[in-house]
Amino acid sequence: MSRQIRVVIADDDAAVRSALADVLDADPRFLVVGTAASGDELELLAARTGPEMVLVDVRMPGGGAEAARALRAQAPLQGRSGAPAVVAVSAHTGAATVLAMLQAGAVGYLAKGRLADLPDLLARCAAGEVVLAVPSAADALDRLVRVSTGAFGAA
Amino acid sequence: MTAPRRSPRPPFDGPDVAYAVLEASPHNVVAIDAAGVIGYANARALQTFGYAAEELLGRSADVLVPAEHRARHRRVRQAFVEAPRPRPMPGGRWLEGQRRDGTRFPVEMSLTPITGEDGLWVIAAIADVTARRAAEARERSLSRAYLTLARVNQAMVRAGSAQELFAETCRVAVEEGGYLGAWVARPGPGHTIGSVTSAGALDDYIARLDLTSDPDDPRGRGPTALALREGRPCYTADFLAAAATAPWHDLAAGFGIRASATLPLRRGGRTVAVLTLWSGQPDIFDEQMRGLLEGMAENVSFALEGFDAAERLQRVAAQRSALLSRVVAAQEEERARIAADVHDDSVQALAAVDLRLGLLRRRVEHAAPGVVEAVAQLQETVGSVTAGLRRLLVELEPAPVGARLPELLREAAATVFEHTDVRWSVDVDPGPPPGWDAEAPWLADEVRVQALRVVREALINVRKHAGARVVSIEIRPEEDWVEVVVSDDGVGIALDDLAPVPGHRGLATMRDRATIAGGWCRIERGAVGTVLRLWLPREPLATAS
Repeated sequence: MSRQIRVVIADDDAAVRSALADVLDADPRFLVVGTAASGDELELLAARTGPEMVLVDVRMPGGGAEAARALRAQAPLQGRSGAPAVVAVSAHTGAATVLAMLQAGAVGYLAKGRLADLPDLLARCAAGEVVLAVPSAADALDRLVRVSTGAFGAA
Repeated sequence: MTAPRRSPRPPFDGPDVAYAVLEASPHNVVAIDAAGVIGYANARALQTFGYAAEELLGRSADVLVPAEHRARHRRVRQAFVEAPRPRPMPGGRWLEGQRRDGTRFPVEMSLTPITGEDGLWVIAAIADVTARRAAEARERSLSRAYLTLARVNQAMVRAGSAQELFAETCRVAVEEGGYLGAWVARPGPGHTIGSVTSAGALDDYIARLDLTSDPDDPRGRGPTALALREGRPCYTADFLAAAATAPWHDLAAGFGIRASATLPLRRGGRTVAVLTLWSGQPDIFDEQMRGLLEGMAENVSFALEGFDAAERLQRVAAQRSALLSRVVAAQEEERARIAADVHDDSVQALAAVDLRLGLLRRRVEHAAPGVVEAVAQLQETVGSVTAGLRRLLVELEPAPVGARLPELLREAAATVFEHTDVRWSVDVDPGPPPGWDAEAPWLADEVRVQALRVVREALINVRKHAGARVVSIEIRPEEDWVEVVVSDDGVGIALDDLAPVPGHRGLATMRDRATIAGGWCRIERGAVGTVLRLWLPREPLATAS
């Protein structure tokens, strides 16, 4: 069996936090190394524990996108190998929100309420896949492409 | 009784008929010899210059010329004698005749050489051009007045406010009309008269006018006070002699003022200000000039009414716009508050339940396989409830700042039709007009939010009631407005459904939202299904047609 994936969970809701932790703890592929209730806590915790994956709530205090950016900036190495994989877990699934997280460097966006396969989805993210399990993902990606190519067409 | 004065026969040879012609000439004819001595003057010349024949004949032609022009006259005469041939005498403004009483008049003169028995004679035909010069001057000032009028009309079109219009009118009057000064004054508190704006070289004069609108004060009975009080134009043909301007005679003389026109400017039927024009020319304001100037004042008044109407319109539009912003802001705030509650209380709890059910399912897979199905169903239920709440969250979320209409509507459709079989499309036809900033949101923020809410409401209705398989959202952007047409292929809407139903506010709310944004919203039965037409101005200021 390969090495366990070290995970930090950040969500301002205690019930969600503990449920996420319990789900991952029950799965041998994951090791939860800490939980945080805000962006600031997450930053400190990540610096101390050096996780490979971070689950962030988009609307927690401090903001999910800001936290994701801070984690990337904190990483000793540039690129994906240095920073933990950030996966957003949120009830907010508007394209603009998804886009903001992608731009902040998230490699996954999972909708709360559709987390039956959470461990599998996270394992794929840890393996380098991008998982966007939200209805507006295509729209968010479309906007991301427009932004990066500078194409602002009519439709 | 004295015999009528008449001149002697001309001192040169010629048939009598020539003499008769000279006597009958409408011009003043004077003959002088090479030395400049007058030898003949016809009856008209004697009359014009005011001499009897015996007073004039034998004297130097200098007596007919004002003293300061005599040297020049002599030079011209000398040049002519040296090269005598018929020609008009070069002149211009300095060519003046002087009567016996010393008064002067402008002349034009032509010189003809005649050689008589005693040498060269110069026949000077002298025309008194006083009337013509006056007519020319009048024509000049009239055409300047026309030009002034035309320029003031242009200024009216350009001016954005009454103050600007007044300033431009004054400037144009001075620059184009050639007036010494132009001034707009209006009544101030009490009996004061305040200056609004002025142009020209009379600012010191204006500052020292010391006017009042008190009719019991002599300084309150001048043209300005009178025009303000009675709302009619006041002219002074001779400013320095008129009784009404007596308090200012000395002051005005120092500034070269000789005539004035004071014209009332009206707004809403009231005289709100007067325009005064000062001229250095007495009698300049004749019938025609008055007609022109009063026409100009009427135009300015007309423009003032226009500003009034435009201001009223702007005020109403601004109020409407402010109201719209407040309404939208209040709605958005309320929605954000509800969204936060939904998220924090319900969605988070359900998310935790969902996670724990997943955990439970995995645990019972070995221990109690019989309940796995039940746990899975429970989790499915929680999932669909959460999905519903997530849709609500998206719906409640403030419209993303800066997102353009097609993106907003695509996102709305993606969320509303999540987990349904409905195929939907968002098309823009035609593309945005050339003048639009491609990166800016297509609609003012308040309008954009209403567009999003109305279309989303329509899409939710389609999902809930229409049983549609295909929904098309067409966006038709035009220069100043945008039309959105949402059509589906569902069961269509019964006419009864269009009437307000108690407790079912969807359709009425959509119409209200469109109206608040200055547009309209209609729901019609299509060939199949239902068609919603939403028309919105790009800026909330535009009014619904």
